[in-house]
Amino acid sequence: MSAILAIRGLTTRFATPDGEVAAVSDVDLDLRAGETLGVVGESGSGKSQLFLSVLGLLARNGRATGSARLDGQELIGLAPESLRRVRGGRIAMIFQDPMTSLNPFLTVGRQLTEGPMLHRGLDERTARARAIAMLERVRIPDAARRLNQYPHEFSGGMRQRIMIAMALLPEPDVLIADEPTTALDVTVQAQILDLLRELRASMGIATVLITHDLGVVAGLCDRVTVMYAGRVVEEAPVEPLFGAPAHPYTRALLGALPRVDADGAHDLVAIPGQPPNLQRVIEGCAFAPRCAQADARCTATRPGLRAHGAGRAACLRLPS
Amino acid sequence: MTEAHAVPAVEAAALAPAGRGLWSDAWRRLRRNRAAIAASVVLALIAVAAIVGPEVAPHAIDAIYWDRVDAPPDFANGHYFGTESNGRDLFARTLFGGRVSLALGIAATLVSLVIGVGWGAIAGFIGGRVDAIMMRTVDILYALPFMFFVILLMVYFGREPLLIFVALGAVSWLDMARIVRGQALSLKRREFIEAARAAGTGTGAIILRHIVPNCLGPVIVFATLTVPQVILLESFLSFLGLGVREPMTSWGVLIADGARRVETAWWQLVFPSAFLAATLFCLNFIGDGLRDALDPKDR
Amino acid sequence: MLNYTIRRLVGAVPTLFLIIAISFFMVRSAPGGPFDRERVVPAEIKANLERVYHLDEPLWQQFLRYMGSILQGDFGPSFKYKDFSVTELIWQGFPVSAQLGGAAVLLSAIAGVALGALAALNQNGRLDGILMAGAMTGIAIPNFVMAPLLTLVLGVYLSWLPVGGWGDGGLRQATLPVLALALPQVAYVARLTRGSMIEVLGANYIRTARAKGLPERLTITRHALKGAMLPVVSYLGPATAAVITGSVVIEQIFGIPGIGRYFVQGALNRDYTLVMGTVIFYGVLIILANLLVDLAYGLLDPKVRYD
Repeated sequence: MSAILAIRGLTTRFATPDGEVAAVSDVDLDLRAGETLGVVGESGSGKSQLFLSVLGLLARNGRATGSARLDGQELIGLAPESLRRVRGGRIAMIFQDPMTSLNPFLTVGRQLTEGPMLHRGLDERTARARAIAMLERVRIPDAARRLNQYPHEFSGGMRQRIMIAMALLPEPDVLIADEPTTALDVTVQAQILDLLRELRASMGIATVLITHDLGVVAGLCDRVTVMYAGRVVEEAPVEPLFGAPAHPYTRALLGALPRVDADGAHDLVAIPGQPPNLQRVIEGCAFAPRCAQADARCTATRPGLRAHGAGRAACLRLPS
Repeated sequence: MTEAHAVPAVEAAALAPAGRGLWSDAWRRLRRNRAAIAASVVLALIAVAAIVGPEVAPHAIDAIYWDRVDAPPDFANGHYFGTESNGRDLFARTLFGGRVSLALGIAATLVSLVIGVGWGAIAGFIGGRVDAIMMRTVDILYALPFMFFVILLMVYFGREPLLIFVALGAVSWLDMARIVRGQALSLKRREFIEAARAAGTGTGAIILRHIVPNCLGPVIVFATLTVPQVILLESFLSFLGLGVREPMTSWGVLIADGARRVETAWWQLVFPSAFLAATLFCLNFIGDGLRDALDPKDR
Repeated sequence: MLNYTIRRLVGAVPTLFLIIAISFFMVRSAPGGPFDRERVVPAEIKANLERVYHLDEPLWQQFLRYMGSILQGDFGPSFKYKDFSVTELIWQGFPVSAQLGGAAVLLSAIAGVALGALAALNQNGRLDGILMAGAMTGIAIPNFVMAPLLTLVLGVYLSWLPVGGWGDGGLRQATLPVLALALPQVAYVARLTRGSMIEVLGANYIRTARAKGLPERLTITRHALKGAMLPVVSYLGPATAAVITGSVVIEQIFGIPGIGRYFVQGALNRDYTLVMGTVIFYGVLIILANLLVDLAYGLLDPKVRYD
C-alpha cells in the first residue's frame, strides 16, 4: 500500500543558549492511507517534535531538515503560505492538553467554524450547521446551544471532544493526535479512546497516534513506531511488536507496562537510568547506557534500522 | 508510566529550601546578562562619583562666583558642567545632589522593605482572619491617592529629609507586602517549616529565621525596582518645590531650577537630568536582570 | 453588570470616606492657618473670618459639616480665590485637565500597545532591541524632564510648536504637554504589551490556531490580541493615576489652567478647602477609572462574570 505521508531523513534541531539540541535525528516513517500508526516513546524522545516539524509548527528556535511528502508534495521547506493551506485542511492535529489548547477568549462555535470557512470556503451558516452535526457526532449533547459557550464552560473530556471535532471538521486526509488522552482522568480517557476507535471505523482517516502509553496503542493502532532519543528504534505491526518485541528498549517499555499477571500481582518495572542528553553527539546506540544486553560494540557503532520479522529494528545485537 | 522515573528528582529539587544552588545559579545567569552587568558598572561609577565627587571637585558646592552666574561648561576654569543661577559650580552640585537622591532612595526603600516584609510575612504566615484583615487594609490603602497625601504632608509639616524618606517609604510598601505574603503562604506548607514548628520553634522565630530569608529573591528584585521609583518620587516632590531644602540639593531640585532656565542655560537641565535618567535606567536594568536570573522561567 | 457596578460603587464609599478624613485631618492638624500670611489682620477681623469659615468650631464638628456639604456637591468656598467656590474652580479646571489627561491615557494605550506588539512580533530582532531600549529610556526620563527637553527641542530650537499655555486646547497647543505626560506611560505599556504578547504567542491555543492553518495575521488579531490585552487593560487603572499625578507638574510647567495647578497653588497658599477639594476629586477620578478598568476587563475575559 502506498504511503500518504512519507517522512525521510527528517532531522530537527533547536538552538538553545546552552548549545544545539538534536530533538529528532534522521527519521524515516511511512503513514499509509486509512491506517492508524502509533508513535511511542518517553517524553523527550522527539515524537511530538517530529510531527510539529512536518506541520511547520516548531518553536522559533527550531529548524527541520530532510523530507516529508504528503501525497508526493514536499512539506519541509515549503513556503509558509502553501504550508498553511496544508495545515488544518489536509493534515489536522489534536494536542495533549485540552484545557489550554482551546482559546479561552473565543466561543467554541467561532473556533469550530473558522477552519472549515477557511479551507472549504463555507459560509458561516453552513459551517455552523456542520459544526453542530460534528459536535453531535463526538457526543456533545445540546450542541446548538453549546456552540455559543466558551471553553471554560466545558469539562476536560468535553474540551478534548471539541478539539477532535475541530480537527475533523475540515475533512483532513491525515489526523495527528498528540497524547490525546494523557491529560484526562482514567474514565474520560476510556471514553475518548472509544470515540477515536469509533471515528476510525466510520471515517477511515489515516491517523498518527502519538503516545507514551502502550496500552492505548494496543487497543487502537495497526502499526507501531518506537522512538528513543530522537531516532526510530523499532517499527512493526501491533501484534508482532507486542508478541515478540525486537529492540531491548521496546521490551523495557513493555516491561514497564502495568499488567495483572497470571499470579494476580501488579508488575511495574521502571526502566533504570535517564534518557541521554541530546546536546551531545551520541556515538553508538543511544540506549546502550540503559541496556542490560549492551556490549562494547553498542557504545561504539550506531545501529541502523534493519528488517526484522514483520518490521524493522535498530539494534546491533539482533541476528542479521 | 514510563515517565515515572523522572518525577522524584524534579520534586526533590522543588521541595528543597532555597539553598546555595539557587544563588550560585542565579549569579551565573546574571553574569551572562551583559546589559545588567554594564548597568551595574555604570551605577557603581555614579555612586562612587556621588560619594567622593563633591570632595574632590575643583569647586565647593556652596562657593558663589558672582562673576560666573549661568556660565556654560568650561574645562579651563573647572566648571565642567557650568554654573547655576547663583554662580555655584554645577558639577559639584550635581554629584552632591546625587548623594542626596541616592541616599533618600535607599533609605526610603529600606523603610518600605521593613514595613512590607514584616506586614506580608505576618499576614501570610499567620493566615486566617489576621491575613484577611491585614490584606484588606492593603487593598484599601491601595485605592488612596497617596502621592497627594505625601504632597500635603510636605506642604504642611515642612520638608525635613527624615519626613521625606519615611513618607516615600510608607507609600511604596504595599506591593512589597503583597509579594512577601504570597511567598509566605506557599512557604508555610513546606516541610522545613513544618519541621521547625514540630521542633517547638515560636511563630516569631519561624517568620524571622525561615520565612523572611526564603523570600529574599523576590524581595531583592522588588527592592531594586523600588529604589528608582522612590528617587523619581523625590525628584517629583523637589520639582514642585516640596523636596529637600537649601543648602541641601538633589537631582530633582537641580532639574527644577534647570527646567526654568532651559531656554538660556541648557546645561543646568541636561546634566542633572542625564545623571537621574542614567541612574533610573541602570536600576531598572539591574532589577530586570535580577528577576530573570532568580526566576528563569519568566523569560 | 449593573449590579456589579452598584456594588463596586458602594464598596468605594469607605475608601472615599478615608480619603476625605485623611486629607481633612492632615490639613487641619498642620501648623499655620490660611490667614496667617495676610498682613496684620486685626484680631477682630480674624475672628470674624474664622466664624464665617466655621474655623472656631471644634474639629469634629467642622469635619461633619464638611462631609455634609460634600455630599451635596459643595466643597466650600476657596480661601484664596475669594469670589469662587472650590466646586466652581474644579469645574473650571476639569475640562482642561480631562482633555490633557484623557489624550495622554489614550495615546499611551494606543501607541504603547502598537509599539509593544511590534516588538513582540520581532522578538529578539533588531527592531525589538531598538523599541525596548527606547522604552527603557522613556521610563527612565520622568515627565518633568521630558517636558522641558521637548520644549527646548521642538519649541525653542525648531519653533515647531508653542512652548506654553493651552488656549482652546487645539492640536498645536496640546501636543507638547500631552506628549510629555504620555511618553513614560507609552513606554510602560509597550513593555507590558511586549511581555504579555510573547507569553500569549507561546500559548497552546495559539499553536492550535496555527495548526488550523489560519493566516498569521488572523492568528494574531483574532486569537492572540485579546489575551495579550488583559494585563494592559489592568494597567490602565494605575496608568490613569500616574497620568493624574503627572498632570500636576505638566500643568505647572506649561501654565495650563487645569485642576493640577489649583492643587499646587492651593497647597502652597494653604488654601485648605481648595486642596481638600482637589484631592478628593482626584480620589473619585481614580476610583472611577479603576471601576471602568474592571468593567472593561470583564468584557474582554469571558471567565469573569459580574452578577
